[in-house]
This record gives sequence, C-alpha cells and structure tokens, in this order.
Amino acid sequence: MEAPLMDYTSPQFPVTRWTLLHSLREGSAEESKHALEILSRAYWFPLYVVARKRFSEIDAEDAVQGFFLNLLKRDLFQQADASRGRLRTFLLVAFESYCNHLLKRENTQRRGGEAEHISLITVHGAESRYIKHAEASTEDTETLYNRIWARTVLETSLQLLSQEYARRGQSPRFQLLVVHLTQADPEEELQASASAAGMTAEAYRVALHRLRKEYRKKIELELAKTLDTAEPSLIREELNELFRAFS
Amino acid sequence: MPDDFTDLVKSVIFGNESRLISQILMDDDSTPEDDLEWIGPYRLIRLLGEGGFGEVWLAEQNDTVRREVALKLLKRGMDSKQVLGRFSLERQALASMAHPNIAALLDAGRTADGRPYFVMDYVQGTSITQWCQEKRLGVNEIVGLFQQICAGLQHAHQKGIIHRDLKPSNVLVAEIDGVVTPKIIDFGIAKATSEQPLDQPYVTRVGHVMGTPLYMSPEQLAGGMDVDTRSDIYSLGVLFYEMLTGSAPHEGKTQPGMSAEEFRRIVDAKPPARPSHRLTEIKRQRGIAPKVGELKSESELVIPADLDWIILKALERERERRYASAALLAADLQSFLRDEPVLARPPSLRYNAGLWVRRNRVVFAAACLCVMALLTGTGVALWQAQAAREAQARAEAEAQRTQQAVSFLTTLLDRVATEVAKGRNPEALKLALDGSEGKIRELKGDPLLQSDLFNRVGWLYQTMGERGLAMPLLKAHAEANTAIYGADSAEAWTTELNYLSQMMQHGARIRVPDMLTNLLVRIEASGKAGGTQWFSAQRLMMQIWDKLRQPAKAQVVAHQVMEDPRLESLSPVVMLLVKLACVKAFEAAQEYELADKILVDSIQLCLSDPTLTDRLNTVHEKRLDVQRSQGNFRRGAELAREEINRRKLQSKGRDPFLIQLLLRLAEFESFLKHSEQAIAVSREALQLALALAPTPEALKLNPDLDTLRSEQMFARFSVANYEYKAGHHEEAVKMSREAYQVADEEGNKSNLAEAMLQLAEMQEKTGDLEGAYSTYELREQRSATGGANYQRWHEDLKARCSIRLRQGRAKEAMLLAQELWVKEIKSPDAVKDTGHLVDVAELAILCHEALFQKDPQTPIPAEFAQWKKLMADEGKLPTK
Repeated sequence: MEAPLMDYTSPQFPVTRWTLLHSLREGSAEESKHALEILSRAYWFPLYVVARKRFSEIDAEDAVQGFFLNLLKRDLFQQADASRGRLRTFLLVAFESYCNHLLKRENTQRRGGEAEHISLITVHGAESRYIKHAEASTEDTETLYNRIWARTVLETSLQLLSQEYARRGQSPRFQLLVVHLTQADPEEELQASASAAGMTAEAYRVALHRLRKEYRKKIELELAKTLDTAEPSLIREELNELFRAFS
Repeated sequence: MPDDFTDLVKSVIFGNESRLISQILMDDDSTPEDDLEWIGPYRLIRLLGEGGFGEVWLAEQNDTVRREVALKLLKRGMDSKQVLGRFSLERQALASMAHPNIAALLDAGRTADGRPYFVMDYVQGTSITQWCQEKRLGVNEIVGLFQQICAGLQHAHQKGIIHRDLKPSNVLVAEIDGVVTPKIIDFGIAKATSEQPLDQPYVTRVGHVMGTPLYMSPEQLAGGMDVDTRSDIYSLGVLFYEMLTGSAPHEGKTQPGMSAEEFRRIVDAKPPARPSHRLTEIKRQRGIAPKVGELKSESELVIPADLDWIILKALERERERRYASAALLAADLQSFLRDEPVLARPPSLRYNAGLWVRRNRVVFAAACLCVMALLTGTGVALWQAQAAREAQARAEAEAQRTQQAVSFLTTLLDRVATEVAKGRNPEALKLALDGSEGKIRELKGDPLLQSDLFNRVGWLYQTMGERGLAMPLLKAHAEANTAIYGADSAEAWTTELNYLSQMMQHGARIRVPDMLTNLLVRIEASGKAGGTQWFSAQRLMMQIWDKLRQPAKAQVVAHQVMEDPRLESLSPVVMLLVKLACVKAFEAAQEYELADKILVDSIQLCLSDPTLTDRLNTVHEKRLDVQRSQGNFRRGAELAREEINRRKLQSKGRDPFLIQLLLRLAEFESFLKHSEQAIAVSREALQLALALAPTPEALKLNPDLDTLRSEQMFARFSVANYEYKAGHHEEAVKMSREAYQVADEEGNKSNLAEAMLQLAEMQEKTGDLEGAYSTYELREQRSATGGANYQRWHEDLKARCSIRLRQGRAKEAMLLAQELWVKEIKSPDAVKDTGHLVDVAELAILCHEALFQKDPQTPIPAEFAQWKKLMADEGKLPTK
C-alpha cells in the first residue's frame, strides 16, 4: 500500500523521534511501560477516532488496544522504514494497516489475554468524545487524526496545569482565569471577569499572561515526551504542527 | 483528584485551538518582564494587553514630568521587516494626529536590545458603551459624546488614516478635569490610506488581531483589501447603535467563535433592526423578566425616528450609501439636536422605495388596496378591538398586530409617495386615500400615530398635486402637534410653518402675512426669537411678500434678517436657506449687487461646510439667475463659463452639473443673440447628458441617476428652441420629437406630458398646425390613462381649440370650446379654479365671434351670458 502521508516525510525529522518506539521495543520492562504510557496518552484517542470511522464502538476500542499490544510485541515494525518520517505519521500508517489486517481476519482472535495487564490512559469517555469531535467530520483520515492528536495534546497539557494549580491550592483562580485563556473575548468580558475575581483588569491580564506561559511550558513538556527530546527547534517545529492541524 | 476541570478544560479548548496555539506561538520563550523594568525614562508597571506583535505596558514617566503613560513595545523575535514596517507605520500614524479625542503619541525610541517602542497617552477610562449604560445617559447626551468620536475619527481620516478596528474597547471615556472626553485608542491595525496594504494575511492568520466581527463592515468581512474610510463609518454606526440600545446590530444572531464568513452571511441576509425597534424589543424582554435597577433608566430612553435613519445610513451595506465622512455624520446629528430635517432620511427612503417598487410591481398594486382596507375600517376595527379585549394576553397580541399593520401602512405610504414623486400617479391610490382624513381622526387612542398619518397623507396629496385635499390634513397635523407637544414647542411651530408655507403656495395667500406675524409674536414671547423656527418664519415672510408682489416689504425683512447677528449661530443649512430667501427679496427689489455679494459668500460657505456640499450647485444657479434678472447677460455668460471651466478641470468633464451650467450659458448666448453659440453650447450639454447616461445596472444601484435621463430631455428642448430661433425649423421639430421619444422610454408621466407639449408647441410655431393638433390630441389621450389632473386636459383641449380657430375652422373650434366648458364645470377641482374658467370663457366667446362673422345666423350658445359675466367679473371685457 502506498503510504498516504509521505508528504510529511522529510530528512529534517531526525531519528531521535523514534527513540520512544525504540525503548518500547528494546528497553527494559520499566522503560517499555513508560514509553507505552506516553504513546497511549498522546495517540490512543486519535487512533480510536480513526478506528471508529470503520468499526463499531467496541471493535474500535479493541482495535486500538490490540494495536498498542502489537507495538509491544514488535510484529508491526517490519512494515515501516523507521529512518524516514515522523512517529505520528508512522503510527497512523501502521494502525491503518493493522485495521486492514483485522478486517481480513476473523474477529475472534483479536482479544488477546495480555490486554488486561496494561492500563491505557485515555479510554474513559472515548465514545462520547468521538461523537462530539469526529462523528460528523467529513475530513480525510489524516487531517482528522492530526487534529484530534493536536487537541489531545492541548487538553492533556491544560489538564495537567489545572492539577498543578490544584496542588498549589489555586483551583478557584485557575477556574476564573482559564475561561479567557485565548484572550479573544471582548474587553468588556475580561473586565467583568476581573471584577468577579476581585482583581483590577490589569492584574487580571498579568495573571492571564502568566497562566498562558505556564500552559505553554506544559505543552512543550508533553511534546518533548513524545519526541523524546527537549531540543527547542524541534519543539517549536512540533508546535507549528499543532497549529497546522487546525488551519 | 481534588479539583477536576476536565470539562472546563475541554470547553475552553474546543473550537479555539488555532487561536490558542497562535497566541502561544507569539509568546517568546524569554520573559521580558524581569529585565525590562526600565525603558528610557519609563518604568514599566504592568502589562495592559498584547496584540499580535506588540505588548502594551502601563508605565510611569519620571523625568521632566511625572505621569502614567501607555508604552507599546515590539515583542522580541518579531523584528521581521514586515512587522517593523507595520509598527513604525502605527507610530507615524499616531505622530501625524493631534486631536483631543485621539490618544496622543508622546514619545518614541528603541530599547537597549534594539526593539522599537512608542509612548502614548494612558487613557484610564471605561469603554464608551459601558459608560453610556453606567451613567444612564439620555439620548442627547449620547449623541453629544458620539459627535466627539466622529470629530476624532474625522481628524484621523483627514490625515489619511483608517482605524479599521473601532469597537467599544477602543473608544474609552475619561473624565479630564471634570470634562467627559471620549478618546479613540489603538490605531494598531490602522493603515495610511495612501500606502499599499501591508501583508493582510498576517493579520487574518493570527486570529485574535482581527477581534470580533460585530463591528466590522461588510467589505471588511468579505476580506477584501479594498477597505476605506467608509468602513470606519460603518463601525461608528455599530458603535452608536450599541451606545443607544446596549447591543450591536447583529448581536444575538451570532455565536462566539463564528468565522467572518459565517458572520457576513448573517449581515447580508437581513438589514439590522431599527435601533428604536431593538430598544423596544429589549424593553419588552426585560419587562417580562426585569433586572433590578435596569428597567427604570432604560424605559426612559426613547430613540426618535430621525436618529434611526441616521444610524441606518451609517450602517448601509453599500458603502456608497453611507455618510461620505464622519463630519457629515456629525453634522446630521447636529441637525437632529436642533430639530432640523436630517440628511439621512430621504435618500435612503427613496432608494428603498425605488428598489421595492421595481421588485414588486404587482405587489405594489395590491398594497394600494391594502391601504384602502386599512384606512376604511379594518385597521381601525383592529385598533378599537384592542381596547375591548379582556384577556391581557390577547390584547398584547392584538396590539402587536396593530402595531405591525400601522408600521406597514406608514412605510407603504412612504413608498407610494416616492412613486408619486417620480411622476407616476396610481389612480388606485387616490381612491384609497379618499376620505382618509375622517378615518385618521378616529385614531384618537394614539395621538402620535394620528399626527404622523395626517402628515404623511397630507404630504402624499401634495405630491400628487391634490393641493385642495392636502391643506386640511396639513392643518390637522399642525393642530395635532400643538396638542401633543404644546403650543410653545419647536414641533408645533415647525408644522405650523409647514402648513403656512403650503397655504402660501396653494391657498388663501393674503391671510398668510398676518398668521405669520402672529406666529412670530408667539415665538418671541416664549423667548425663542433668533432661533431656527423664528428665522424660518422670517424666511417665509419674505417669500409671501414676494408672492404677493410686494417686494418692498420683503426687502425690509431681508435687511433686518441680514443685519441680525443671530443669523450666524444658525445651523449651516438653515442659515443658507434664510440667506437665499434674502437674495430673492433683494433680487426682486433690484438690489442686485447686494444679492450677488450674499451669493458669493454663500458659495464659500458651501465649500467649507460638508453639510452644504449638495447645495453648492443651487447657489451657483441662483447667482446666474440674478444676472439674468438684471439683464446682465454678458456677466452671466462670463460667470457660467468660469464655473464650467473649473468643473471641467475638477471632474475631467464628468460632473453632471456641467449639463445645467452649459444650458444656462446657452441661454445667455441666446439672449446676447449669439444664436450659433447657443446651439453649439446646448448641443454640448446634450452630448454630455448622453455620455453620462446611466446604464440600467447603475440605475439599479442608484435610482437618483434617473434625473440624468430627464436632463437629456431638457437639453433637447433647449437645442430645439435655439435651432428654432436660428430659423432651423426642421431641426427644431426633430429635436423635440426625440425629446418626446426619450421621455416615452423613461416612463415618467410628468416628463412625457412636458415633452409632448414642447413638441406640439414647436409644431405649432413652425406652422405644422395639423401635426400640433394631433400631438395635443395624443397628449390628452395618454394623460387620461395616467390619472392626470385637470391642468393637463385643460391645456390640451384649449390648444386644440385655438389651433382650429387659427385654421379658420370655427365650427370645430366652437365644439371643442363647449366640450372644454362642460368638462370644466363637471370637474370638482377645475370648477374652483376661476382663472381657468375665465380662460375658457374667453376662448369660447372668440369662437362664437368667429362663427358669427362667417354666418350671422349662428345661434347664441346657452352659456354665452355666463361667459360674459365671468369676463366682466375679471375685468376683461370681450373684444367685440
């Protein structure tokens, strides 16, 4: 099958991005578990959306679950040339091919006994999110997948940030600020929120500015994890990817 | 997890992703706050806000003066050539402006690490809309504030700067030394009008720079590069709308996060509701669930209709139909504040009506019948039924329906009036209006509506040429306004003046001076001498003395008025009208030099005041009139030629007024017996009228261009006349015939009648009596189908009768004279017109004499004695 995503493959995405898969395959049990956690956090739901376009709710869930197991079992890696392209693209191509494989096979074999042993993070509420974000979408699989991935990164990062505020005992503050995170709202609304928070408009704006900076750090951290690098230029490139997913 | 914000987080992100990411991308890794405490003499205090490429800081200046300022600083890493260019453009834009209603540029420079910054006034104020609500301002206060914003924007526009992002948060109100001053801030995406547009996609890509689409003009929403000062006028309109009603025109139909394209579809789909209607709607909604403290203040705010029209004119989708400048908008508001007629209403009304009628010819006819139904009972029944309703809910529904019926009726009347003004006289309408006075009188429940309807129907009759029917309605309107607003109100005086002016033109003229004097005394008694109504009354006084052929009396008034220093405090429009009346008085009294001097001043006034631009042409024509009355044709020709040359240079020969000027010049040439020049110049006028002729498409956009087609007809009349005078009879008849054809194509009944008359007269003059006779006959037939008034068939029959008489066909002439007489006697309108009756009597007597000469046995007609008596009463004795 001609990989549909070859546009994105280019030598400027170095092998470093593949280290995660490498640890998944070759690392110790601990390393492998950690890698799986990161991968599934970022990609479980995007892949579920792709699967849902072809399977029922239950079968889609099984497909994603099975796919990650197969990643562990390494039997998919022969199909991709790991020296080219990015991880995200590889995962999609590999997953689509895995789904094709499933369709050809009898359903019965899909539920592996090992599934109970790994806990995947983003399973909960997947179907309702799918209905909200993707069911009506007419975009091609790749666009949809990238968009869902990008949204997942944004959500996960903000969720992590909210937990940080909670730890600092600043949940109410987070709640008041986050609604204007985009700063796209009219000035009047900002001012209304500021006075609701008992702050001056300027103080509110500064706090918002700080929140956004913290948010960016969280996003960068998430991206760094899937890229397995903290190299600023690569992070920046990945941020651009996030943006492109919505344009 | 102690606090789970999963849903909140998702709702914040969903739909906002690209905006969120682009904003994050804009933030640079290095934080500027720490190392940037000081920039030059400015200490940064806190971040006020950020745009795509700049940050705005509140800073404190600490060198020569100690004050708070706003400092705009280019973000780090944004120093691309393009962004730098934009940044410096904003600085230049600000530097070129100095206006109390624009936040001023104070300083500019570069930081230690080379980033440019500039320093502006720090306006510590509330947004203009919030201010209006918090302070519970009344209409006049809001208008006053808004005028200041117009002034600021006009200043920017004069400097060639378009704001492009006017919205409440960019217009702040501050109290400076106790004076409330609105200031326009953030010319961040402003651009110099003379410059090429900077990279527009940059702005659109970074979504948050564009801000909310609520305040954007349709052309901005369309994403075109072609945005000019009139886009700002639109945004001003939205702002004003919100200041008055508390919501933007299309608010409520929109959702947050809606794209410009989606929003544009909403704007295109439906024009905004009239602000007064919106306010009523809001009050109604609040009335069901009133919020504490809000109801009282808002229910006091009432938006008058004129204000509606002003706002809607600013909000026109076609920018050609908006105010051409902020100054014009402000000036119209000034008229509004002074209770004077506003510019906004007639053009847009006429435009809508024209468009409406064009699209709905069949509906139009049906609608006329609806008027009839409404006025002959149904509407009234609805009205009265309301009061009798017991169930409150039912009554409310009824009231609403009645309100709709009434607003339908009133707009319809406006539309019909436009039709009539264009020379189309639907017979059905006249029938529909018959007896409407009594019906309107029954609408006692709503005096405002009653008064309004008196005015509209009266005005309609007046435009239809039915003066006799118009007068009682106009009188009723004046009385109604007196009852509503009180005898000493500007409204009452204005309507009384209007009534007297109609009376002067079509009624018991001789009584007008006394009634005017009486009005003047009343105005003076209430201390309003020297105000708009007082001067308007003086103006009418001059006009009435002129009509009564008492130029000396008009002259006395004119001298008094011109010497009154209060004249200068009138609004420009009223001042000009008063001065023009003085000119007329001086002209009639043969004080030509004084008249000309006032006109020269008036031309300067028109050139310097944007509200008078439209009237400049009238003043020029008046000046030529004065030269003509004086018999100074050489000077007249000279003035006309000067103005023609000026206009040709200015407009590259495309100014429609050139047609008029050329025709006037031709007239002077003809008076000077330069017949060949007269022909050449009038032909030039015709050529220009043809060249400027609007295409059908252009006409669709701007029905006012219709007048250019009439110009073609009038130019042909002139050419025909000068050709005739030069002895070229064939050419003269040919031109007249062409004029007739043009009028016929145009479909304007008044013009058609005029053109046919011109042709018939030309045929008669050139000796083609048979041709003339049949043209008159045709004219009579064609007029009859158009619901003509008696003047036309009177002229036609009379002309045909005279022709037969000239041809020596006395018997036929006599029959025509008798036909005419019978028609006159039977027509209720014509029979009141003594002048006409005398004319007919004279003609009939002449016919009889001609017959008598041929055959002394001819019996004397039964009416003969009556004719004789009429003649004798008028002091005209028959030529026996």
